Amino acid sequence: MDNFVSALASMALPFKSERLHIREVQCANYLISAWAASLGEVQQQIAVQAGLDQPLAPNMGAGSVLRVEPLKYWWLQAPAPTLEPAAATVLDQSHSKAVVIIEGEASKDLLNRCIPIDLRDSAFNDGALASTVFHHVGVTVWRQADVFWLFMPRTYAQFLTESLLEIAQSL
Amino acid sequence: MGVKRLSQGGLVDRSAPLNFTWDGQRLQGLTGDSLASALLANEQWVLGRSFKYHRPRGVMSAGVEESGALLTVGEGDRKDPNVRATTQPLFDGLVASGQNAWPNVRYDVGAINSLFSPFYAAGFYYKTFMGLPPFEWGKGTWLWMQYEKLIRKAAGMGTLSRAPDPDHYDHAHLFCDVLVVGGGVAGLTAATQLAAQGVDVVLCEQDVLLGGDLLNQPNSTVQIEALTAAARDSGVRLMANTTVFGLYDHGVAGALERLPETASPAAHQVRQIFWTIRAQHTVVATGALERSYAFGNNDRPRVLTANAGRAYLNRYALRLGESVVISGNNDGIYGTAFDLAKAGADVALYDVRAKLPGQLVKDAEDAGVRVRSQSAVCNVAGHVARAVEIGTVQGDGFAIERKRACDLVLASGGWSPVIHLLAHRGAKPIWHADLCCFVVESTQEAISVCGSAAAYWQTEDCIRSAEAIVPNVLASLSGESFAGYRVGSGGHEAEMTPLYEAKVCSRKLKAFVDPQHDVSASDVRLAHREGFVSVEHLKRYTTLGMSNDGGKMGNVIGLALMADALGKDIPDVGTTRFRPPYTSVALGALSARSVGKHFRPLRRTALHDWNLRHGATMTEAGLWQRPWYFAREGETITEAYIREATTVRKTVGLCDVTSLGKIAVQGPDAAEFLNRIYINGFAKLAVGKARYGIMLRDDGFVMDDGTTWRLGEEDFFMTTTTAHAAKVMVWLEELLQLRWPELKVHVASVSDQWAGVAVAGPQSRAVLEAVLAEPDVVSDEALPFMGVVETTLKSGVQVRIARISFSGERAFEIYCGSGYAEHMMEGLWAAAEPLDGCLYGLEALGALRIEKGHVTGAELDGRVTLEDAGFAKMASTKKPYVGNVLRQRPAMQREGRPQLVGILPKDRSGKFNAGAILCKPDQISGHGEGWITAVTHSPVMGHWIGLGYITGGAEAWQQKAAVAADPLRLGNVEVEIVSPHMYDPSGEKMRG
Repeated sequence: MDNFVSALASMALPFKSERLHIREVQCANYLISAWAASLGEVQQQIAVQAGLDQPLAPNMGAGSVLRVEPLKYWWLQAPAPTLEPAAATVLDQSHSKAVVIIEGEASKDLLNRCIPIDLRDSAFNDGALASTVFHHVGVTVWRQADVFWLFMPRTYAQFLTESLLEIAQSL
Repeated sequence: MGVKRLSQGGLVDRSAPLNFTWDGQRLQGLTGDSLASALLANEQWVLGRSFKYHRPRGVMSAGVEESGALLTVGEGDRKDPNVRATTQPLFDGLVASGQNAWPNVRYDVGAINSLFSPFYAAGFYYKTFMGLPPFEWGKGTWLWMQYEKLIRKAAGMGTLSRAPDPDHYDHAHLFCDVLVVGGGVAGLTAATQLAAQGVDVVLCEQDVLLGGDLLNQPNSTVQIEALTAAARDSGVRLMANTTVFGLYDHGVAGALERLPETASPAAHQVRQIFWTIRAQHTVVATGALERSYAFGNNDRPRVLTANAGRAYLNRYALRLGESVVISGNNDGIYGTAFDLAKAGADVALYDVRAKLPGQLVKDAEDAGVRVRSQSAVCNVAGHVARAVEIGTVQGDGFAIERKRACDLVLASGGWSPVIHLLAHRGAKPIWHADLCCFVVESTQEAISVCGSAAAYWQTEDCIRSAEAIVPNVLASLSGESFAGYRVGSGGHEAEMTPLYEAKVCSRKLKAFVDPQHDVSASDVRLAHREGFVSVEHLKRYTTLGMSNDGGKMGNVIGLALMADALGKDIPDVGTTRFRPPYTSVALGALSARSVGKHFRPLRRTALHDWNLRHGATMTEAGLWQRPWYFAREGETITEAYIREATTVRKTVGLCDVTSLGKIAVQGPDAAEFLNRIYINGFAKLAVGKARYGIMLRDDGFVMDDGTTWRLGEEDFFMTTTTAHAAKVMVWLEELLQLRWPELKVHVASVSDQWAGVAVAGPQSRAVLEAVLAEPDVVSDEALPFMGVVETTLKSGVQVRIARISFSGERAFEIYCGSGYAEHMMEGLWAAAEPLDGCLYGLEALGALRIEKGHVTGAELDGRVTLEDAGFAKMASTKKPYVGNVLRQRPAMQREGRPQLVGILPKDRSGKFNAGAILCKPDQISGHGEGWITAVTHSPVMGHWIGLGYITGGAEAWQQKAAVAADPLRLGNVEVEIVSPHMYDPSGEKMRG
C-alpha cells in the first residue's frame, strides 16, 4: 500500500473531542453477488469462511462481512472468499469506498445530523446495517457494538467528511 | 403611572442582570426575561409602527400570537427582522431596533399616513393606481409598476440583511414512539404516563420553559418542577425552545429548536436545528390562545390581552399598570384581575355578560376589584392608552356611558384552541358555539389531542383529559384502532357571551381585527359590500390573516364580523384552515449545512488534488470538478487550450478522464444483456477487445454512448458519458429487475473504484512503455486499435488499458485503483514531460473531439435519432435491441430531419457561438434550419469550427450558404456546412 493515497488524505483525521472520536480505516471491499438460485449455498459458504455461527440476515453485518442487499455481500478483508464461480460474481471494490469509524457518546447525535435512520437501540442494534443518504449521496452505515462504520463513495468522501467534521466540532 | 418590577416572585433572576440595547439606548433586564418583558420593565411602550398606517404599536401579548412588538434583533449580517419580542429570550449584549419607521418608532414621519387612513381602505392602492385615469384608462400596469416601488417602501415590516448569514444551522433526524407537542400540564401529564408504560416519548415545547399556562399563574413553581421532574424521571426526552411547526404524512413532524443565543457566538456554535421527527403517534397538547375583540383604537400601546397582563405579572414579576381596566366575556379574566389587585393595582373589570360567575366575582371584589356586568371597553384614548370609553350593552351594540382614565387596558374575547397541527393533516375545524371557538373532533390518523387544545380550560380538566388519552395512544401503538378523543366543554363557571366587536351606535371607530396587517372591522364590512363574502375572498381582499402571525388572533374575529354582515351563523360562513409553519422558520435553518460550497455535493476525482497542484483551473461537469485547462504563466484560457490541443496532435497529452461512468457487467448472460441494450452486436466481442456502442431509449432516441471492454467471458467493463453515468446505471438495473429477471447478470457501478487517464498523441505509446512492467503489451501488434489489456505498472500496481481514442490521435485510456491514481499519474507525467508532452483539460478535449466530429451530451440531447447523429450504419439488422422498433416510426425516419454536421465560418477569420440558430440566408427567423451544439477555435485548421444539426445534413447544403443567427450576441455570421469529421476522416492516425 506504499503508493496508496486516501480520499481523506487532506482531512483533519483522526478527530477527537470529549464526546466523539472519528478515524479513517482502510479496508478491502469485495462485492459478492449471488444468484437467487445459489443464495443458500453462498450464504453457507460465507458464514463458514467468515467464522459466523449462522448465515447473516439482510441488512446485518458481523466480523468483516456485511449483507448489504438480499443477494449481495461486502467482504471487508483480503483476500476475497473462495466461492464456486457459478454461484456468485466477485468484484473488487476496495478503492470505491472511504470508511470512517465513529465512536463516542455523541456518535448517534452526529450521525442523525447527517442521515435519516432510526439509530435507537430498539431499531438499530449491534450488527445492524442501512443503506441511506447523506446530503443526497448514497452511503452505508453499520453498527458494530457501540461503534458506527460509515462507508462513503470515494469521490464524494472528502465533501461528506468536511460536513461530518464541521458538525462534530459543534457537538 | 408606571410599570413596576415586583421585589418578589416571578421566574426572573434578580441577581443576574443582562445588558441590552434598544434603538441605541443601553438598557438592563434580568435573566429569565423575554425581550418584551425587559423592554416593558424599562417603560418602553412604543416598539413598532404598523404596516400601513404607521400607527404606534407595542406589546399586545406574551407569546407567539404577538401582533405588535415585531422588532429587528441583531446587527449587520446577524440582523433578524420581524422577531416577536414576546418569544425572544433576553441575552447579554442583545441589540434590538424598531422597524418600518423613520427616524424611529417613537417619532415616525410615516405616521402622516394615519391622517389619511379613511382613504386607505382595503384595496386602496390597486383601485387607485392600476390603470390610472387618464393615462391608462382601465388598462395597463406600467404606472403601477412605478408606484409599487414607493408603496412597498412605505408599507411593510423589517428588512433583511443582504449579507450571507454567518451562523451555523443543522438539519437533524429524530425518532420516537410518541411525540408530545406542548409542555403544559396536559402535555407533561400525557408524556409522563406514556413513558411510565415503557413508551419512548419526545416532548417539544416552544417556550424556553416547560409549564405552559402554569407559568402565568401565581405560586406555580413547585407544581411545574414536580411535573417536569416526573417526566424526566420516567424517561421522557424533553426539548424546550423547540417549536413543532408542521405535521406531515406518516407521523412526520417538522420542528425548530432554538439553541441559547449569545452576542458573539463561538466558532462552531449552532444557532438553530431543524428537526425532522418521525413518530408512530402524535399527541397534540398545544393549548389555546386568547384573542382580543375589535374596539376603538384597540391597537394602541398599553392595550394587551387579559392573560398577557397576568403572564407579565406572575412570570416576569412586572405589574404593567397602576390603574387597570379589564374587559371581556369569559371567566378567564377574573384570575388576571385578582392577581393584579393583589399586586396593588387599581382594577376595574367590565364583563359583557349579564350572568356573572358568582364565586369569581366575590373573590375579585374581596381583592378590591370593581366588577360591572353588561359593559365593555369600546374605545381607547391617547397615542399610548391613557383612558377608555366604557359602553353598556344596548341592542346588538353598546352605548358609551363613561370615560375612565387608566394606564393599562386588558381585553379578552375568548380562547381559541391551537388546532393548527391538526389542520395541517386536513382535520376539519368544527365551530363550538358555547365556547366561541373552533375545535377538531376527530382525525383519521394516529394523533390524539388533550388539554386546552381540546377545549379544556381548567388545569384539573386538562390533567384528566391527558390521562384519558393514554389508553388510546397505547392501543394505537400496538396497531389497534383507538377511540379518538373527547372535546371539552371549557369548564368555566358562567357561560360565555360572544364578543367579537364593541360596536357603538353613530360612532366610527378604528377597530382592528388583524393589527399586524392593519385590517380593521370596517375593512371586513367593505369586503362584504363589495361582494368578497367567501372566507377565501375575504382573506385575499383584506389580507386578513396573511401577516406573519398567520391569523392566530384575527381570523375568528374577521369571520364573526363577516357572519354578522351576512346575517348568518359563523359555521355557515366557513372556516379558515392553517398551513405550516405554525410560526416562522428561518430559511437558514431549512437550508442547514447546504450552503456555500456545500450547497450541493462536490465530486472529486482521485486526481483532483494532483491536478490542482499541477496548475489546473477547474470547471464544473455535473457534480464533478474537472480540469478545464492548465495555463502556463501569462497564458489566457484560449492560448492554453490551443497549446494543449496542438501538443496532443504533435507529441502527447495526459487528461484525467476519471469522471466517465464505469459499470461492471458480470455473469453468464452478460454478453447477451449487452447485445440487447446496444444497437450493435456485443455477443461475439472477443475477450481483450473493446467496442464502441450506442444505446437507445425505449422510444428509439439515442440515450448514451461509450466503449465496453470484454475482460473475460463473463466480465465486461462498460464506460458511459460523464453526464449519463447514473442514468445508465439506473436503466440497466431497471431492465434486469423488471424486464429480464431471467438473465443472470449483475451490474455494479465501479466509477469510484477506477481512476482513469487518457494518454493521447503520437508519443502516447512511449509514455505507457515507460511506466509498465512489461512495455511490450502495448505494442501495435499486442494492442491494436480497440484492444484491451490488464497488466501492471513497474511498481506492481494493477492497471487496465484500452487503445481507444476520443481525440483522433493514437491514444490509450489507462485505469488503476483510485488510491493509486496519483502514483500512476506521477509516472505518466514523468514520462510525458520530457517528450514535450502536456497536461490537458476539458477545453482542449472539446477542441480535439469537435475537430474529429465525436459526439457528447451536447449532441446527444435526447431529441436525436441514430440517423440524425450518423450512427444508423452501426445498427444491427440481425438482432432486436432496446428501441429498435420505435425508432422506425415515420417521423423519426422522415427525410430532411436535422443531421449532425460540421460548421465553418465562410470568412475563416469569423466566429460563431454554440446555441446559434442555423438559417437560410434569406429566411433568418423562427426556428431556422438547425442549431449549433459546440464550437472551438481549431488548432489544426487555424480558425473557428463547430458541430451542430441542420435539416438534411451536409449533403443537402453542399454549395449552399447558411447563416448562424445569434441576434443577442454575435449577430449573423455566414457559415459553410461540411461533414462532421473535419480532422483525419479516415482514422489513420488513431489506428497508426
